[in-house]
Amino acid sequence: MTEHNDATEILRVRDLRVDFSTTDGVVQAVRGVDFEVAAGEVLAIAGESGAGKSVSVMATMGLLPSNAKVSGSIRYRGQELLGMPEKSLECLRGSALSMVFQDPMTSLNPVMAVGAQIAEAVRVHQRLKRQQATQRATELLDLVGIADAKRSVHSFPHELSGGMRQRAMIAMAIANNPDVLIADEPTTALDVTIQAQILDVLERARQAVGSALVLITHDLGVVARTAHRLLVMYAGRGAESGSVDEVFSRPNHPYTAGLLAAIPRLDTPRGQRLVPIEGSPPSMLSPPSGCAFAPRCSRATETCAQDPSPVPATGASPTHRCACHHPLSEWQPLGSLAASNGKRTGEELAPLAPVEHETEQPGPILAVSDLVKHFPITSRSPLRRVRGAISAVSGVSLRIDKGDTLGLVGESGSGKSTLARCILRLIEPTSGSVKFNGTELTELTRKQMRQQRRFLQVVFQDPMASLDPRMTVASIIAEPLKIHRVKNDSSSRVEELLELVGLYPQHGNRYPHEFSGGQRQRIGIARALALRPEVLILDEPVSALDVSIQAGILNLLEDLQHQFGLTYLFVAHDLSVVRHISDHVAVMYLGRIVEAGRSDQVYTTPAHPYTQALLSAVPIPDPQRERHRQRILLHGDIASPANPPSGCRFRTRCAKAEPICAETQPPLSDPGIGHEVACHFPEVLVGDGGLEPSTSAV
Amino acid sequence: MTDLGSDISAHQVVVRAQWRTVLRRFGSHRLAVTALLLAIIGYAFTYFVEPLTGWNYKQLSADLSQGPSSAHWFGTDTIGHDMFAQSMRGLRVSIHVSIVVAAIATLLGTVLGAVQGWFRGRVDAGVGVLVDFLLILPLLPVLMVLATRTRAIGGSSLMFVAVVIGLFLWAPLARVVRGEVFAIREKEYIEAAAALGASNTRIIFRHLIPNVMSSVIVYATLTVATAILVETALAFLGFGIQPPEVSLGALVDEGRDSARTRWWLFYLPGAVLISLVLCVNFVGDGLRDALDPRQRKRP
Amino acid sequence: MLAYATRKLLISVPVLFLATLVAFLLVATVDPIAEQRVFLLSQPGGAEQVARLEASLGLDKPLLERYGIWLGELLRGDLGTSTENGRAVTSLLAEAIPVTMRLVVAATVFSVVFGVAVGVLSAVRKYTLFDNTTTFFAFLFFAMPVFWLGAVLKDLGIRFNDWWGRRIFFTIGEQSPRLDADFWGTWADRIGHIFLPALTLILIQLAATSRFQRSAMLDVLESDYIRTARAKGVPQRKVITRHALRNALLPIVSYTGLTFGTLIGGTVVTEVVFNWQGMGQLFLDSLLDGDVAVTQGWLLAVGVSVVLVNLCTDLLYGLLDPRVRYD
Repeated sequence: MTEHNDATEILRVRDLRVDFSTTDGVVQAVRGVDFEVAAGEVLAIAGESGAGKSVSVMATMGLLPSNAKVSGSIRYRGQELLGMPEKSLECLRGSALSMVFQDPMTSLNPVMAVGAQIAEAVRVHQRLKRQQATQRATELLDLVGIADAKRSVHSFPHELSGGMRQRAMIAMAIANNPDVLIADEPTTALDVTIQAQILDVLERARQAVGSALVLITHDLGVVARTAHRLLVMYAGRGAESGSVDEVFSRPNHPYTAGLLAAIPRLDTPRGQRLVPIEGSPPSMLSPPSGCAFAPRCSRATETCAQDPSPVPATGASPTHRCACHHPLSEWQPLGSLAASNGKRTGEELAPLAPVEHETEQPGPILAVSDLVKHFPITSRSPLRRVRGAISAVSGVSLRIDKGDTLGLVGESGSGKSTLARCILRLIEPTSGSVKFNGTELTELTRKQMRQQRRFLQVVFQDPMASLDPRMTVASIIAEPLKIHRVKNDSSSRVEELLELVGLYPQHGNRYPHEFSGGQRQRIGIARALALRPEVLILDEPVSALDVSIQAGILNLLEDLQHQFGLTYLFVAHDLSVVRHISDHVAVMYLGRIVEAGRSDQVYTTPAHPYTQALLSAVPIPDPQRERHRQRILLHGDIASPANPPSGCRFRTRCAKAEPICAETQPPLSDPGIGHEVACHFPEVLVGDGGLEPSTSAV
Repeated sequence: MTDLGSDISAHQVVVRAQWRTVLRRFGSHRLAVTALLLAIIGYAFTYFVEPLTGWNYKQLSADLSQGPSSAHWFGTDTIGHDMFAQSMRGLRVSIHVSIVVAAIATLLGTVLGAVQGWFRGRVDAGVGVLVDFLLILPLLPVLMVLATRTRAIGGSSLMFVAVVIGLFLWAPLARVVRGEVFAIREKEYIEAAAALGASNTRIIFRHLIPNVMSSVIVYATLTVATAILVETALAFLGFGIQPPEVSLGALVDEGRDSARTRWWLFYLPGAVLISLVLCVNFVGDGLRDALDPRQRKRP
Repeated sequence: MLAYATRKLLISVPVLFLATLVAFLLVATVDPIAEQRVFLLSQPGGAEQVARLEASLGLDKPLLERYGIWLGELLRGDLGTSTENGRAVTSLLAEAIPVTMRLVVAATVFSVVFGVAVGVLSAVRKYTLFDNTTTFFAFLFFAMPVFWLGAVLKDLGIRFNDWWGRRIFFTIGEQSPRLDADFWGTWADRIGHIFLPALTLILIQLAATSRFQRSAMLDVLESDYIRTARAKGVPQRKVITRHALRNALLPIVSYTGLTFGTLIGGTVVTEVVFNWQGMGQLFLDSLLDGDVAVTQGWLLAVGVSVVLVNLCTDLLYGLLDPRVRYD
C-alpha cells in the first residue's frame, strides 16, 4: 500500500488562499492551505461542509468563478499554475490534471452522447481522428466497467443510472492518462453499494493510467478504505496531515480526534455513546484570527483564541503534521478520547440502562402487515390513462414494541421512505393494514386520522427544508398545538420544548435560517414532540448533517426516548447510524424486507446476500481494518420498481441466484439463526462480512 | 456550480431572504429606488396639476395648437385641450388600470397556480388547459372583439377595461406559481404540516403561498407594465377607454398624424407613457435582484 | 419521440376546438341585423319580417346548434360571406394573409436571430460595455408601446425623406399601388415597404428575446456540465459553441411559440400605423362594420395559426432535446 516512498512530487500547493466577493461580504473560503501530491499516491482531503476542501481543488484546476480571488502558489512539476494564461491552463486541464465531480446527474452535458463527450476529451489533447477517438471512448467505457460499451457510447446521460454516469465521468477524466486525478466527493450522491463499485473503479482506473488521486470526501470511512495520506481541513485551513495510519491511530489535532469519536461505527455495537463536538464551524465571512477550532475545543486556552492561527508542525513523525497549540502528543486509545476531547453537551446524560418495557400492554404499539403501495404511472396526455404501476412497497410487515427502536435500512429505491409515509398516511397505502395501539389507521376517516396524528409524529431528513422559512421558530413549534386546538398556554409549552431539545427558549422569535443545521434539526424534533406523541417516525434524521453535529442529535434522540418512553421507527440508509441506535433492524430491498431481527444478530450474522453485500460496502474509519476486510461487490444497479424482477427481487444482482429464485418469492422466515431472512439459500457468513464487534481499537 | 456555492457559505446561506434583507438589497439598487420614487411622485403630482398650472383635462382654452409654453407646459391640441393636464390624467388612468389589472391577475394566478400545484392530477390538468390556452392567446385581438361586444354594458369604462384585462393576464403567473409549488410541495415542511394534521386550506395559504411570494411580487410588477401597454394599445386602436376619459394611448393616436407639424401632441404623451413603463420595469428588475437568491453572486 | 409527438398533437386538438368555440362565441352574441330589426319592428307586420330574416340567417336556432352548423360549414371550407361587400370570407383572408405573413416572418426570423446573438454575447461578456449597452436598449425598447415606436419610425422616415430630398423609406402601405414591375422589381418594392414596419416589430421583440436568451445562457454557463467541459481542457470558445449554446437554445424555441400570439397583436397595431392592407386592417374594418362572418373567420385563422406554430415549436424542441426524443 505504501509503495510511494520518496516518489517524485508532482503537485505542490503552498499558502493557498481563496476569497469570494459576495453581496454579503468577502467569504474567506480557503485561508492558507499547504499540500503536495506525489506520483501515484492517493491523498484524501477530508473535512466537513464549508471547510474549503472543494474550493482548494477547484483553485488548483483553475475552475473557480470570476468572483474568486486566489493567491499563494500552486506548482505542477515546478510550473506555477496561478497566473498562468488560460490557454496554457487549458492544455494542462484534462491531460495533466483532471477531475471527477460530485453530482453525476448534472455534470454531463444532457444533449450530447456520453461517448461524444469522452471522445471530445481525447481530441482536445490528442491528434486523433473522430473514428479513433470514438474507439478510445469505447475502450475507456469498457475499462470503467460499463457493460456493452459499444452501445453505451451512443447513449445520452439521462439514459444511464447515477452510478453509470459516474463511471462515464471517470472514463472521461482518465482519457488522457493524467498525472493527477482529482475526485470531488465522487460517491456522496450515490448509494453505498454503488459507492463501493465506484471506489473500486476509481482505484482500477487510477492504476491503469498510473496517476495520483486527490480524493475530496467528508466520509472518514472512505478515506480509510482508499487513501495513503490524509489532509484534514477545518475552516479553510489544514488542521492535520499525515499517512492514514498515523492520523487514524494517533490523531494529534483535537478536531481530528473529535471527529473520530463522533462517528458511529459499523463495527461497534449499540450502547456506546457518541461524543459530539459542540458548536458549529465559524462563519467564513469573518473567521476568527486565532485558531478557528478554539471555540469548540476542550483543550483551548487563551493563547488559542488570541495568538495567530497555529501553523502545521511536525511531531514525532516527519510526515505527520498538526496545526495546534496543544496537540494530543501522546497516543490515546479511541475509547478514552471520549472523556478527554470535545466538549460534552450541557445536558445531563441519562444512564444507558436498558429501558423497562411496560408490561401491562403486551403486543406491539405499531404493527404493519402486508402493506402495499403501487404508484400508478399515468400517461401524460390530459386523459391520464393508467399505463402501469411502480411497485414501491410490496407486502411489507413489521412490528415495533413500545419503547423500542426499529431501524429500517435500505438504499434509494428500496421503498423505505414510502413505507414510512404510508404508515403516517401522508401517502395512502394501496392495501394492507397499519395498526397503531390496536387502531386500524388505514380505515380511519381524515378527521379520525387527524386525531391519531397527535400520537404518531415524524422528523424529516433535511433540516433546511423541514422548517417553513417564513415562520418564526416559536410559531413552527406552536403550529401542532394550534391545529389540534390544545388549550394550554402554548408559549410556555414552546419554551419548555426548546429547552428540552437543548436550545435557548428566548430564541423562539428567530427564523429558521438563523440557526445551524443541527439546531434546526432540534427544532424539528421539538415540533414533533409538541403533542406528546408515543411513536416518532424518524426519516433519515441525521443524514444531512455533518458528523460532528450528527452525534449530538443521535444522543438527544436516545435521551428523549429514555425520558418519555418513546418508540422510534428509524429510517436511514446509513447502516452505521442504524446500528448505533436500533434494537431491531429490518433491511429493505426493492419494496420488500429481505432480512429482519435483533440488531446485533443481523449485523454480526447476516444471512441474506444483499445484507452481506451492504455491510461489506460500508467503509469503516479504520485503515488497518479496511485493508483486511473482504469485499462483496454487487453488480449492476437496483432494478426498476416499475418492472420488478419475478420471484426474489434481488436475484438480478445475486451471485447465488438459481432458477427457483425467479419462480418463487422466498418468504421471510427464520432458518434457525435467531432472525428472519427472505432467501432460498440463506447462509450465515463467517469472517469479516458479518461484523463481529472489534475486540481492540486497532 | 451549486455545490461549490454551498460549500463556500454553507453556514451563511439564507435560503429565502427575509423582508429586511430584501428591503436592504432593493435599497442598494439605486436605479430601482429612483424609478419607484419617480413613479410615486409622478402619480401624486397628477393630483396637483390643476392648482399648479390652472388647467384640468376637460377644460378647453382659447389657445389652439400652441407649442409648449409656461402657460401650457405640453402645448395645446387643435381644440384647445391643455396637453399637460391631459397627459397627467392619462398617466393617472394608466396607473389605476394597471394596478387593478395586476391585483386581479396576481390574485387569480397565485391561487389557481397554488391549487394546481397542490392538488395535481385532474385539477392541474383542467386548469392547465386554460393556462396553456391563455398563454398562446393573441390577447389584443380578443380584447378588441370583447370591447365591441361590451360597449352597451359600460364596456369602455376604466374599471371594466381593467377587470377584463386582468381576467386574461393571470396565466403566466399561474404557470410560475404552479412550478414553484411543485418544488415546494416536496419540501419536508409541507409534509410535516400534513403529518401534523393541517388542512389543505391551511397548507395552501399558510405554507405554500407565503413561500412563493418572491416570484409573485416580481410577476405582479411585470403584469403592471404589461397592463399599461395593453390598455394604451387598446385605446390607441379606439377599443379601450373612451372619451371624455383620457388614455395616453388615445392621445398618441390623435397626435400621430400631426407628428411632423405639431410634434408635442405626439412625442410628449408618448414620453410620459414610456417613462412610466420604464419606471415599472426598473422597479421590477430591482425587486428581482433583491428577491432572487441566484442573482446574489453579482459583484 | 413518437409518443411525445402524439401527445403534443393530442393536446392540440382540445385547444384547437376551444379556439373555434371562442372564435364563434366571442362574435356570435352580436346581433347582425340590429339596425334592420329596429326599423322593421316599427313597421306594421314587422315582427313577421324579422322572424323571416332571422330564419334565413339561422338566427332563430339555439346558440349551440348555430355553432354546430358553423363548424360543419367550416369543415367544408366555407367561412360565410362578408355582410359589407358580399365577398367570401375565405377569399378575403387569402388576400390578407400573405401580406401579413411577410411581416410576421420577417419580424420573427430577424428578432430570433439577432435576439439569440445579442443575448448570448451579452451573457458571455457579462457586465462589459457591450452587455451594458444592450441592456440599456433592451430596457428602452421593452418599455415602448408598438404603436408609438411605429409612429416614431414613420415620422422619422418621412423627415429623413424630406431632408434627403428623395423617397428612401416607404411609410404607407405594403406595396406601391399600380406597380408595374417584374418579379424582382415587385420584391424590391415590397422590401422597401416592409423595412420600417418590420423594424418596429423587430426592435420590440428583440428587446424581450435578447433578455430571455441572456438569462437562459447565464443559467447554462453556471451549470455543472459547463464546468466539466472546462475541466476537460476544452477551449473557452468551444465550451460556448459546443456545450453552452446548444443547451441555451432550447428554451428560446418554446419561447418563440409562446410569444407568437403577442406578435400577432403587435402586427395588427403596426399594420394600422403603416396603413397596410393586411390582416390587421381586415380585422379592424370587420369590427367597426360589425361584419360578423369576417371577424369569426379572422379569429379562427389566427387561432389555428397560433396553435400550429406552438405545435411546431413543441415538436422542434422534442427534436433538439434528447431527453424528450426518447420519451
